[in-house]
Amino acid sequence: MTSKNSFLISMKENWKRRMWVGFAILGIYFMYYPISLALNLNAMKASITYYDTSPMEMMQQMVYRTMAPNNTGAFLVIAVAVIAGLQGFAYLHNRSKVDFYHSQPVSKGYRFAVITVTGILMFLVPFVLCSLLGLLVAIGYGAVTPLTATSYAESILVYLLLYISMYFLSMLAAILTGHGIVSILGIGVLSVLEIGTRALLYALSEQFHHTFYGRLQENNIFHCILSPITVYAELLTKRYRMYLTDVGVREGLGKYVLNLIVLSVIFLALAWFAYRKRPAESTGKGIAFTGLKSPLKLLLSTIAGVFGGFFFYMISGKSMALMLVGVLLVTVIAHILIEVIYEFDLKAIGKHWMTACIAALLSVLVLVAFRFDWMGYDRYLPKQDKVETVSIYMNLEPSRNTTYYLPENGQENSLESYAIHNMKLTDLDAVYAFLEQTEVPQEKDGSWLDQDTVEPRVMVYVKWNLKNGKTVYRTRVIDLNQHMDVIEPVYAMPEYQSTVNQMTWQEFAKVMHLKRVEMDYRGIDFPIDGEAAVQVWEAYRKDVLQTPLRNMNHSIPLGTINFYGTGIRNAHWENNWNAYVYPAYTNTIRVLEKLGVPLTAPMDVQEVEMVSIYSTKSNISAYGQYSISYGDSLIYSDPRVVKTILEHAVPAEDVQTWLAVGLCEPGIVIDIQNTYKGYRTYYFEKGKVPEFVLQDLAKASLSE
Amino acid sequence: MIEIQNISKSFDTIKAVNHINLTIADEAVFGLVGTNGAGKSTLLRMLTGVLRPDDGLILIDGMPVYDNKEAKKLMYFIPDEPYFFASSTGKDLGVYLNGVYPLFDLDSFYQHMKTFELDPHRKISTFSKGMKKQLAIIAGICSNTKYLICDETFDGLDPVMRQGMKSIFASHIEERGLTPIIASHNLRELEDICDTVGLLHQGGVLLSKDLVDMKCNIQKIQCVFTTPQAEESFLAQNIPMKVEKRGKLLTMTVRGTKATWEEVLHAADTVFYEILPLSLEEIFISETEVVGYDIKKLLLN
Repeated sequence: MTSKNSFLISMKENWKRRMWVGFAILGIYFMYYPISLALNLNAMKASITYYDTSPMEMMQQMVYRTMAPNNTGAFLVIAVAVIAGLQGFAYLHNRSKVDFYHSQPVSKGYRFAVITVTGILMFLVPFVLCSLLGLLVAIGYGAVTPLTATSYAESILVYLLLYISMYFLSMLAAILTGHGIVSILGIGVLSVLEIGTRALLYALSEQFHHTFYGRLQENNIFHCILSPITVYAELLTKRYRMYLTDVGVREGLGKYVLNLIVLSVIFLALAWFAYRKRPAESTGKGIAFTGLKSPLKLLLSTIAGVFGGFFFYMISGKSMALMLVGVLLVTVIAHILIEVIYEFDLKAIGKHWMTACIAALLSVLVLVAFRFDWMGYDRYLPKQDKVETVSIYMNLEPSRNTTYYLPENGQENSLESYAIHNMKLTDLDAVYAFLEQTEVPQEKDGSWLDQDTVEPRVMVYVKWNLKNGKTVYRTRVIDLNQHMDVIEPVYAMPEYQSTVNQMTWQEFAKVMHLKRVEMDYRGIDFPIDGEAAVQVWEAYRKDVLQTPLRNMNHSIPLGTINFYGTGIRNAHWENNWNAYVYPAYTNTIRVLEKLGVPLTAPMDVQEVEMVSIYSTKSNISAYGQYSISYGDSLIYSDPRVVKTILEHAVPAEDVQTWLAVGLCEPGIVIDIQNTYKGYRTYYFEKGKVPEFVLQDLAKASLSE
Repeated sequence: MIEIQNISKSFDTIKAVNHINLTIADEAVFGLVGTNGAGKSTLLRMLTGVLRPDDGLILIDGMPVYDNKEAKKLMYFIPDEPYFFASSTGKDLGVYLNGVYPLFDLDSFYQHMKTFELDPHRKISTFSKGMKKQLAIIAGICSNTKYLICDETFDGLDPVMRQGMKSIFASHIEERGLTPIIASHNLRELEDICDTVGLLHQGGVLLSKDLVDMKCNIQKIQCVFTTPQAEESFLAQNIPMKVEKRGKLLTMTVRGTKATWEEVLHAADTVFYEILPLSLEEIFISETEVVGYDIKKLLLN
């Protein structure tokens, strides 16, 4: 006698009920893999060569893009997972079906397992089958590389995990709700709740916490762990970087895989628990569990209320009154929407206003707590005896390119991030002497300098590693001129120097093999290659390590050196860093002069086509007898006049350092059109504006 | 035996079933009657383990039924709106149920479909409402469960089919001790099939009695007394449940067996008397009026 109730027979019966979804999945993947690959490869085979890429290379890249995890593939996986998850448990939303199934002598666990496993196989079989067919098609065209093969294996794992986690999440949504439309909304809420909440809290912190340090990757709002979609998005970004390098493809993916596995287990456990406890009478209701309604509504209405209040606060020019209006308006809208969705009845609007009132109150409390810093976020500095080490990054040269890519895995990094993560300052007395002089950044403070900046208030990014294992991040600000006495000891610390400046990194060779150097002096490029480039590099490194900060302060850099190194092969870019040459960098200057770079000579007047000068101020009275206001541009082309102007003109890029604040004339801008670079902006050195320029500007102001 | 012990069930603020106690004996047809909204379907859905009672306990042959596979093996539920798989045929249904119910008799299922002229290869969605009901009853019968629970199942069947179905019921009761539990809002539907009837109203059981007992113990008497004094004396000694008088003709509903009343009336000073059988409806009217309800308002028919 055959076992009438065997698992396979039940799955077969379940499959019969759901086979339209299965065939839809089969159709989708058949089109996506073998058919589209065959059509595209066939078209590419006969195509002409573009640039330096052969048809075969194009075909290989296309096959790689299709077979490796990608956006389109993920979209398909998520879509079919949602459909399969909802369809598997949609019977719970129909009373006749519930009566039919739940009166049968089949345990809940058994039925749950049958539906769940069938749903997984429904995806896995067509997906593997069609993708294998696609791979065979690509092999037939000879367009499969080893990277494609390994990435295909990876895509099987990643897509399966993405499918399973989204499928379980959709099952959970279907079980928690009593109506298909609400289930779909539920999937949306479960998928974006974390990132939405994080984004909102991030925006509140950024707006109201002046010391908030959100620039680092780990503080990034997109670093979410509770939604398969956001986890996959991060994984894809990571993979892209890895693809760019052709190496280390699998490095670091384990945590995302683990994240998806953990999410799958959690969603499955919750779905099973909810399935067991789900009351059959909840068919047709918005939410299956009455007890969930109020907490869920409170949570969503509060988030909506906070968002509404914040939105109104921002668009109204920071009005507290309109913030309250925003909270009330959006909470009421949220209340109406949620109640109507819960009950499918417009009359439900009149119910449960108490929850809406509590949500509005909570929203106001959250906003006010942020606005007036009730938590003391900005006042908080960890006590010295609780601190193990401190990392500090002073952003002295804001215009400097601090981004680089690690060749071994394509990971984007920055000097700031490197310093914050690797620096371990242990001389806490000196560090705290420094920190005590830092202040909470004000609205006028910023990361960037402009022509009007008169006080060198430098942004300071700090990370405390506490003895209890926790970390604290804050942004502070310090006045360079007033507190050089406490800044210099920190700047001179070997731990500071060895992490904050790439020139001193031991692993620098791994990041950048020096290819060439360009010296940009007053807007003119001097390329330096080969051994000479290495000499410049070594001299510069020596200067960085040896020069005290106070010797660099109050000086205008002589120019900028651009160091070019190894890049990321598949991205067709290379790492490059720019660095100022301060007058105190004697070793560098000596080497450059030996190489013929005229660091003391002004720009050759023959290379200048035209100079225009204009004032950016509406009323300048800082030029003694001359009263200058905003006026038309003055145009100079007489070589003798131009030569006088060039003697005291400094490229605007060269004074984007806090060490040179106040050394140029504010309000007067020089645009120089040279023969090979087009327009470039310059400033006059402080107190060195030629007399004829002031006179001409004053005349122009009068004529206005 | 099915024991329903003090069960209650509410939906939000509506009390659908309110502290019901009921015992359903084996091998007898139990009828559950009540108006729309009386709680019949809710009671049956709890009885079949679909709904979990808020309070109380339901035991099927001593086993709690909710989420209990063993207890559910003993029963088949035919709801008021039976569900059939989309695009499925009668044969598909039989095959599916054959995999679910351990004692399902597939051959008998096909045989009964043939008897009732239902094509097993035709899509169920093309069946009429009555044909679907027939199919649901055949499926229930062929599941060979001890209890067959029917919610408004005979509504929509024509008299011939109804009779046919009832005869199948009767044979299964006799052959294997089937216990059908049939809910209906129509007393006449149940009159010729039920052994016991329970009356539900507003979530509670007004009464639950054996139909034969009820019929044997309640009589309608029409008589004419020789004199008003004789009539007065009779009524003083024998208080009826209900009395109506039209001219000299007295119509009474009384408790007791026919033989007892034959004796009493024979001894009384009557010109004429007659003891008549009561319809189920009349019995219910009398019984419920005794407990203070006007059944004409409770039942539509």
